[in-house]
Order: sequence, then structure tokens, then C-alpha cells
Amino acid sequence: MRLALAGLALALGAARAPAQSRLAWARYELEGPISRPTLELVSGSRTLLEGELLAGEHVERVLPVVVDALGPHGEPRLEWEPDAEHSGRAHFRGWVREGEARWSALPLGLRARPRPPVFPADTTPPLALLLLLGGAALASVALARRGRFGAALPAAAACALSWFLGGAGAELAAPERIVLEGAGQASPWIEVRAGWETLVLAADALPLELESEPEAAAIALRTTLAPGGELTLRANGAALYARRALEPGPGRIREEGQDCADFAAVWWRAEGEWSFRGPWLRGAELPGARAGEAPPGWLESGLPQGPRVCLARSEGTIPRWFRDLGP
Amino acid sequence: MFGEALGLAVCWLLSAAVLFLPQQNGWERELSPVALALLPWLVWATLPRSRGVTGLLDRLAPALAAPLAVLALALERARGHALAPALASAAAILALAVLFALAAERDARSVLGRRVYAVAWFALVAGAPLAVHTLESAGAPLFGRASNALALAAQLSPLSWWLGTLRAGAGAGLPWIALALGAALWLVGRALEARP
Repeated sequence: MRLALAGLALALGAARAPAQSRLAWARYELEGPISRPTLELVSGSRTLLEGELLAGEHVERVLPVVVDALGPHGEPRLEWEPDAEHSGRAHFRGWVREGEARWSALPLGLRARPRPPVFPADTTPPLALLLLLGGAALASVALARRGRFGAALPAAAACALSWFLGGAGAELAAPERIVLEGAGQASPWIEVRAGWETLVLAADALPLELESEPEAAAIALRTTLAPGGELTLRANGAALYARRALEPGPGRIREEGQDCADFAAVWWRAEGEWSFRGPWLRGAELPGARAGEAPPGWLESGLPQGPRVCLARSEGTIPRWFRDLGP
Repeated sequence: MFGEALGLAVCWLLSAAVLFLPQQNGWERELSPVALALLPWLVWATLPRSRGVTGLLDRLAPALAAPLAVLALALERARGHALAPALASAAAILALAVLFALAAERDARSVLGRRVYAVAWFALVAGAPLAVHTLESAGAPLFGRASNALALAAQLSPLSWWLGTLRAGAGAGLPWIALALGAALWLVGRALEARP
């Protein structure tokens, strides 16, 4: 009995509870002149809206607001540099909850998939550089007595090494991860964009859900006052995850063929066995099993036992990862 | 000479240590590598000089500091910090270091000058900012902020200005007050040297 309870607790703990989205939308009626207003509900998390409304302009806008675990509540504070006559006006008209409803309507199994890991770039300089700089310093000491500028030559070489080798590891880190989650259907799919400290989201790819790790991280959001601007999210020392529904999705994946993308690498799980299938072009049949690398651990972990799984990576500088669970 | 050379070596090690320590994901990610790496050099440059010390170490110090300063700038770039404030901080620290080193060297030429510089260093460069931050971090809950006179004296120190550059991307402006203190100490040294 105790063992069964422990197992149940473990299973409940492993399943990620849906967290409150950090992004909400507030409807405002604005009357100019208003210039570069800021919007704040949670202390430290602020939305900066670039642009201005001229005197006499009267518009209604739905504006993004960063919220905390309590979700959208109360009235956000909208501030701007007042004009001489203090004639600008802003009226809060309530929260827009259509996105929450759309997100809740998606299958729970899709929404609760494990998040892709993102890490800060490791900018620690290599130890070899420390030894090289130490050597250059000793050379400078040795040559300093030989002339007024004797120490300068090793120092100049060390400066060049420092500039080119310092922080080189940062370029190896993936700036962003994109994962497309499917459930064996053509639709719906969920697109997850994960980034360390920064995410830039196009106006036509606005998220239905935004999460951060740590959950309470302060998020600075920047967009335009005019509709159609991209969202730039920045959170120091935090990972950001933006999710949106893709309806229709990128396509459907079956053994007979897939119409999602040209995959550079595919891993297939059928009857509990993983196999590497190599590249898989759009429209072609699933290639046969071959020797190759194991599926990426972060992509295969946390999946339910039983159903058929397809993990795939598309081509590109920022590759898109596909994770599709079939019947 | 041995003591001064040892000081320079310690300076190099401290400056390199902050750049080569493995990076964590905590508060230190917010700090500016340029400000951290150049602090030991700034302190070393402002230290009082003793009489008759060869200028060799003063000529050597820039050659030792420059590669570490360049590495710190490369790390600012790699960590996504704005490069302009970091460059401005590096230039201002260089100006402060040169001015205070010149003042220390000028004051070291006379006995009275050495005493004046040493007192000024302990009271204004190191003492006042240290006293203010100790009082305000440990005593503020009980006693409030430091007195205005002490806070004003602390403003003269290059270390107080340096503290404003510690957060990455924070522009602390030009250190006019600290530069004025350095210039005043240099002028004092020149006046005392000219005395018969």
C-alpha cells in the first residue's frame, strides 16, 4: 500500500502541473498625446510600448502585460511622460481572456510535455588562455629591462589572443530552441520557443502561454504601441518559454509518409524500441532502421510509455525539433 | 623593490581570477567583468609610493594590465552586455589610474608630500568610502544613513565612482570629482617639491 502511494506521488510529481502564464492581455482605451508609455502590474516586470499617440488620437488597444503566479488581476499601472497640458488619457477596459480559453481547449497531454532545456552560454575563458596570458606576462617582465617598450610586444600579442579567445564558447550555445509538439494528428500542434534571457516573438506568432524559470523572474517586455509589433522579452538569469497553438499544424507524420518538413535526422519508437532512421524527406516513406546516434535525451525524456513516438530534427541554423506521439 | 613587485604579481592574479573563475548563473552574471578585472589595478595605481622606487614597475604595469582589460571587454561582448558603457568605464579607470599614479609619484619626491599623500589615501581614497559602506550596510537599520560630511568625503574617492560601474551596462558617467582629487594631490606634490 505504502509502495503504491509512493508510486502515485512520484507519478503526480513527474507530470508538470500547468503553470500560470506570465503573459496576459489588457484592453485599454487611449487618448493622445501619449508617448512611450510603460505598463506594469508586477513590480520589476514592465512593458515598454514604443511609439506615440498624437493629441486628439483616440484608439483602443490590447496590450501585453507581464503577470505573476496570481495571473491577471486588478488594474495594471500605465504611465507616460505627461505633456504640458496633461491632456493624455488612458482607461483600462478589462482583461482579454480569449488566449487563456484557446490554450485551455488544447489537449492536456500536449500542453504538459516537458520543456526543452536552455542554458546560458558558457563564457568562462579556456584555461589554456590563462597559461598563455601568464607566459606573456612573464615575457613582459623579462623584456621590460631591455628597453622602454620591450614589454609591449608580448602584451600586444596577449591582447590579440584575449580578444579572439575570450568568450568564444558563447558562440557555441544555441541561442534558441524551437520544438513542435504533435499528437499524431494534422492539427493541433504546439510550438514551443525556448530562450535563455531573451526571446523575440513575431507579431504573427504571439504566444498563448509564457513561462519563466525561475517562475517569479522579472521580465521586461518591449513592443510597439501600434498593433503588429514584435514582442521582445528579456529576463536576466532566467529561461523563457513561449508556447502557441499551430492550427493547422505543420503536417502529419505516419509510416507511409510525412508532410511536415525535410528532416535531417529521425528517431522512431515503435513497440518500446528506439531506432535511428537518418534523414527523412517530405512525402517519402519512413526510412529503415540504421546504425546511428541515440535520440537526444532532453527530447525523449518524460514521454509516456506505449504510443509510437517520432522525434525529428529539421535543417537550418536554428533547427526545429519535432516530437510527435502517435497511437 | 621586492614588496612592490610582489604587489604587482598579486594584482595580476586577482585581476585574472575574476575572469577565469567558472561562471555561475547567480548574481555575478549581472556584474561587469571590466569593473571587476580593473579594480586591483586601480587600487595599485593609487597606492602611496615610497621614495626611490624605480619606475620599472610603473612601466610594466600597463603591459600586464592591458591583456586582462581586453579579455574583460571580450567577456562583456560574449555575455551580451552593452560594449559602450564598458569601454567608457575602462577609459575612465585608465585615466584615474594614470592621474593617481602620477600624483603618488610626484608626492613621493618630498618627505612632506609622501605624508600628505599617505594621509589623503587612507582618509579619502580608501577610508571614507569604506566607512560609509560599512556604516550603511551594517548600521543603517539602526542609525540611518552616514553623515553628510562623510558621504561627501566618500564621493571624492575613485573607489566610490568605481562602485557605480560594477553593474554591467550601468553608465557611471565621468569621474570628475575623483579626477579633481587626483589633480589636487598632484598639485600639492609639485608645490611641496618646489619648496626649498
